[in-house]
Amino acid sequence: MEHYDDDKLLTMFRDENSRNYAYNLIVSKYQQKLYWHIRRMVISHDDADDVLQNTLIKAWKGLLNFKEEAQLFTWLYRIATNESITFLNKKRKRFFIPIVDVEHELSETLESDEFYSGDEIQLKLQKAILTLPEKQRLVFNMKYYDEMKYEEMSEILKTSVGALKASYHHAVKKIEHFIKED
Amino acid sequence: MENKNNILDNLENETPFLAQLKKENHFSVPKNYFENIPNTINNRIVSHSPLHRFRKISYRIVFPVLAIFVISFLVVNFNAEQPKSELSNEQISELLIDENYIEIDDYIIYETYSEINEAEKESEDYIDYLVENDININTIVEEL
Repeated sequence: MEHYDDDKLLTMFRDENSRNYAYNLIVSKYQQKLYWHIRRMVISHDDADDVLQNTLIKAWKGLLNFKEEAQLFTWLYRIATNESITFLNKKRKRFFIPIVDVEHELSETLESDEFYSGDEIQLKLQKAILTLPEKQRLVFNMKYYDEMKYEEMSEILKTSVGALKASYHHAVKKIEHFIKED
Repeated sequence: MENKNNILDNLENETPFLAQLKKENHFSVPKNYFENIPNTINNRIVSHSPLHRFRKISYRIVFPVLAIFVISFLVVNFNAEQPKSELSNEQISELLIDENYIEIDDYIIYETYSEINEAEKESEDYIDYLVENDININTIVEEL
């Protein structure tokens, strides 16, 4: 498969004749990063698959109006983040369960997930991450696993860099505390 | 790379525990999952296209309307073919015979008419006998 930069891909997407091809390339280029970001939020593969598909469908619908004020990946990442949060909120409402119990349910899903193979200490870390509030969990995942810059995170989450740094600091402290206590 | 080093430095400052952990991805996906995603998305895009949705909506509307039309047509025509209860006996006979509702051959018709004529003939004989012998109602009452 050919590799083009985002500008080229967007130019190809605007041309009706090459739109489908360009979108295939965009999907192939970013699907894995988006998937892992979503997966860490919703935990189960099936749920992550649903959310990823919704993300990519929304991106297809919105891409013609994409203004290039943000980078393509940042824009896709923002859609994926919003879709993940929407999914978790729907899950909460559907089963009439409070936030704490959703995190508990995600933790149980993780333990029984055939597509998770972490050792005991990794499982403990994942469980610790799942005790964090949604926003902190996002910030932690983006910083720790995706190694994003605070500036990029700020653009995606529409939060100031200072607030993100504080959020990450709190997240790390809570995780440490959880693991020491457990 | 520099960014990664900064994160690691921060982590060591934040918590030595996280810095010690290997940052590996322990989640996995079904075989060929990522290879199939572009096709899955393509199919979903086609099913979300305005033309496809128009067709889908059309089918949802056209089929029920068509079904209602066909059912109405059949009901109306079926009722029209039913013999009305107000038809006369002759009309019913004509319908039965002309439309072949039952098979009536010439022999059945002959037999039916013969029985009627015989019955009629029998009563005429009685009347003739009574007239010839001058028997009226008073005579019959007296005899009884």
